[in-house]
Amino acid sequence: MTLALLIAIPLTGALVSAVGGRSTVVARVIALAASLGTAGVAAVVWRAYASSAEALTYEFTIEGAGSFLRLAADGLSVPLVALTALLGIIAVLASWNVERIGAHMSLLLALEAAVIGVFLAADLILFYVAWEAVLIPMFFLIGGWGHENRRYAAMKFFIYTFAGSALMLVGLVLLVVLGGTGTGMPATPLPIEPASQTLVFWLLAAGFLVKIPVVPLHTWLPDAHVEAPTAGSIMLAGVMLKMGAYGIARISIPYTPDAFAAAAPILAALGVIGIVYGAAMALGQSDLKRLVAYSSVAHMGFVVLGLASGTQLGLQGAMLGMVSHGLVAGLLFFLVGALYERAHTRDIRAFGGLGVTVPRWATIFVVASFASLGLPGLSGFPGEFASIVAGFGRFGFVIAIAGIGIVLAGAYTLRAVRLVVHGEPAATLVDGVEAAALRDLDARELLIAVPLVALIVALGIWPRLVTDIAAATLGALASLAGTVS
Amino acid sequence: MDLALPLAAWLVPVLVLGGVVLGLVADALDRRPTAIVLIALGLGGASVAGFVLSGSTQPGIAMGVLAYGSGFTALPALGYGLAALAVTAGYRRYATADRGPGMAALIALGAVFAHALLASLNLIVLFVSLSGLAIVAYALVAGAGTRRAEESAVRYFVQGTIASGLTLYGLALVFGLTGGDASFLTGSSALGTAESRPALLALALVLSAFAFKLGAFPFHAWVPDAYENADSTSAAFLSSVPKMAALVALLVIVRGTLFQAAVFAPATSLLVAIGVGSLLFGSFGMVRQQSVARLLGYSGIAQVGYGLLAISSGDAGIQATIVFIVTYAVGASAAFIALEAVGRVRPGWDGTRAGMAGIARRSPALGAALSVAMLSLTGIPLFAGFWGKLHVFAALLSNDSVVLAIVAGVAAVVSFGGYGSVIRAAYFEDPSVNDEEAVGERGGAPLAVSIVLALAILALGIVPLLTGISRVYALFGL
Repeated sequence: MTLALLIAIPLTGALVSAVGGRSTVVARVIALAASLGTAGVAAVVWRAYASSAEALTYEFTIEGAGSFLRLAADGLSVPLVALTALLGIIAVLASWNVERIGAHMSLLLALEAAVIGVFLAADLILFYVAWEAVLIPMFFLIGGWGHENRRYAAMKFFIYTFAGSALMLVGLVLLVVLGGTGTGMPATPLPIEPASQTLVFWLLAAGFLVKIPVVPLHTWLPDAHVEAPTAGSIMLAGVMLKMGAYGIARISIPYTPDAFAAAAPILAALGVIGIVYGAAMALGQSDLKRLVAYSSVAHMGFVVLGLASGTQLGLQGAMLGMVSHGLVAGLLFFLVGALYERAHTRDIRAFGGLGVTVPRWATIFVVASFASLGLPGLSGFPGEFASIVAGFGRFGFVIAIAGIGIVLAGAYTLRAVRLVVHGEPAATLVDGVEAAALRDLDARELLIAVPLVALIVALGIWPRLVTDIAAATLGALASLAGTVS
Repeated sequence: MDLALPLAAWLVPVLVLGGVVLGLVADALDRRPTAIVLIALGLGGASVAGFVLSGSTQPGIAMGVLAYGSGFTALPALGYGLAALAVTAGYRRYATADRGPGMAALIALGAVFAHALLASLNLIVLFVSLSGLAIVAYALVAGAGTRRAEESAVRYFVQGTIASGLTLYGLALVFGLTGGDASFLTGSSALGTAESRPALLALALVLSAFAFKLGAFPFHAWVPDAYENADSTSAAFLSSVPKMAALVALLVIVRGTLFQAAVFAPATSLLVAIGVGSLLFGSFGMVRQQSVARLLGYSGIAQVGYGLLAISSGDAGIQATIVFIVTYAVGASAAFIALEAVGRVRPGWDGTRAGMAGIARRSPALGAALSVAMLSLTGIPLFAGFWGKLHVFAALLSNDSVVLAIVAGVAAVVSFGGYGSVIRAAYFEDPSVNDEEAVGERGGAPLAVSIVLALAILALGIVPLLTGISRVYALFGL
């Protein structure tokens, strides 16, 4: 029953907020209560799963005439659910002052419920339902609360990801038809016959790879990110991108292991291309939000590389990379959003010397940037390191190309830090916004940022925080992928 | 011939016709509002009676020509329900115009013809109900009263007579091959041993008649014109109930009776061609439309494509066809009735997407109902339309038609370019007219009916997740 609460609480919050959210106070209270409640339940689930070491999955099912409501949590889903619940709170706090707050909070909570639904679904149909259900609130969040090009970005986001998921649906239905054992996803599913695996794998991959996204299927991402409101960006980068990688691990590896093994070099290549391309594009951006968006492409490249290796180490790297990127990108998008609220511009060249004018903001921005570039001791490092090592082990020295991306990551991060934080403070930013008049982060904003910083440091020093709980499941996955005999 | 007439076979249409007769009497006495209420009550009562009876009646055949019981009563009951909602939503339009009661009566008659078409097991009944529906449709389009409506009704009529001619040739061929036997049940064995070329020609001719009625490629030209120029409540009926009836009737003759013999197997590729053509033509056609009703016309063309692909995929497609067309019928009705409400909230609306900019801010309930209809027609989960598309995909894939399933998926994505643009206009665009100063009202009956239909779409979309889809099948006797 606990697992169902993880979806029911935010969903109830969404409904109540939609109906009773005319008043700002009510909307805030409901949203905060619902997201805190969800996080509380997520913590309970984490502890319950961590203490029952033998259990591979932790299930909730409505028995009955063909119900699709089957939920399960294991080492693959528990960390991502916890991440979603955490970022849910962050997103609510980050949108404290938006217009039409009731509708905004309602969509945000619905989004949280849908994403958690994806991570908990133990049924192929429910998985697809939750997957698409994520699109609807995000579509309205971008279109309704986004910036100048929001209408275009909302349509592009929907059509791109829907194009992937329509093919994914064909793949999922084909899985059901070929599997012949119904729509449920058992803890260790039987692979389908090898002859059909390639077709099914690539149909599913169409959905997963667009969502991650890998280059060249990524073009929706910069637009969506730049135009989305801050809370939307936090959820989009923080958890939605993980849905694709999660899908590969949850469905592609167990059901189509042979095709996955055959496709692994292609996936690894896509990962490396993402690492290099994302970093190179980030280097060329002057819009701070766009820069963070492209850096997401690079970070997800590491995740894809780790997944592609199919080894325990690589899967651990991917998992760490996902959690870390969730925290870091969430924090960065929050910081950029906070800056934009004050300065009304995101152009890197307009700033300078923020270390003097807004020291708290600047300090946290520097920490987040270093985590993003993969500095050891912060959360970005262990995941990227594990992915690269696993990649070397499986694919050899070609993976060294990813090194270009790592160097570029240093370049774009330091460039951004130099231009924004260091230097002489610019007198005027845009349209008469005085740089000296910028407010530093207030108490609410620190309440958002500081816990994230703490987690980023904690995960950097003690990655076993995540890897311990994921180990059993990822080990089972690695043996399914055929890399452990 | 068994002349026994069980309740399920006669009560339902008699309730509707009773409402029509009383309504026309009231109209003759110049009581137009009463007339509309009577007609709507007849339809509503028939719908309720139909659903109640469908559960308790075993399938049977009345007078050797009409099937009844189970799905053959439940689907017409749905049709009467949608017709009742269309008349209710159009209450003010029909109660104030001179020919209003006549239009409402036409909708009710159309629903009866659709019932006969859906349940017919006899070629004569089939032909009469097809022609009856056609006449109702011409009259409903012309009834909007504008010059453009009359013009498109005439065009529709001219094209329709050609289709009727083809039907007649087809039926004549079938008669020849069966030795004058008009019954689907006994005729099918005679056709099974017929020579293949005339038999296939007969099927091709009958198929083109259905393609015209359904508005399928390449007989689709009338659809966008007719839907754009008919008033929205009439279009709500035209786009849903007759299509449902025609598609189910086609399913019955192709998969269950007349044309099921092995000799007709080559015709499957014809169905696929028509289906894919409709799918692509409709989906791509939607994207560029400025007029929302016209956009929904192209949507109708595309949706029929899914239905035809379902029929083409053998036995796996029988259930899929019915689930699909039910969800489509509810979605299309909801969409057109929401358009009627847009006209209420923003009087003088020109029917374009741009003209409904920001309407959701003026009326959040209307925005929500409209979005629900659009998302359901796209086939997004949590809305009824998803189960329809899912079943079509499953049928195609069970039948090894991976390529067709992919084409259907791509078409769904393209179609969102149309459906999504309506949501975009309603929510994301700023209103160009100053809504505060405009004299619009709250939406009245059309808005109430849209909300009812939107809730039904949500219920049909979400409840199967919890209970499994079988409960929904049971509703329609599957």
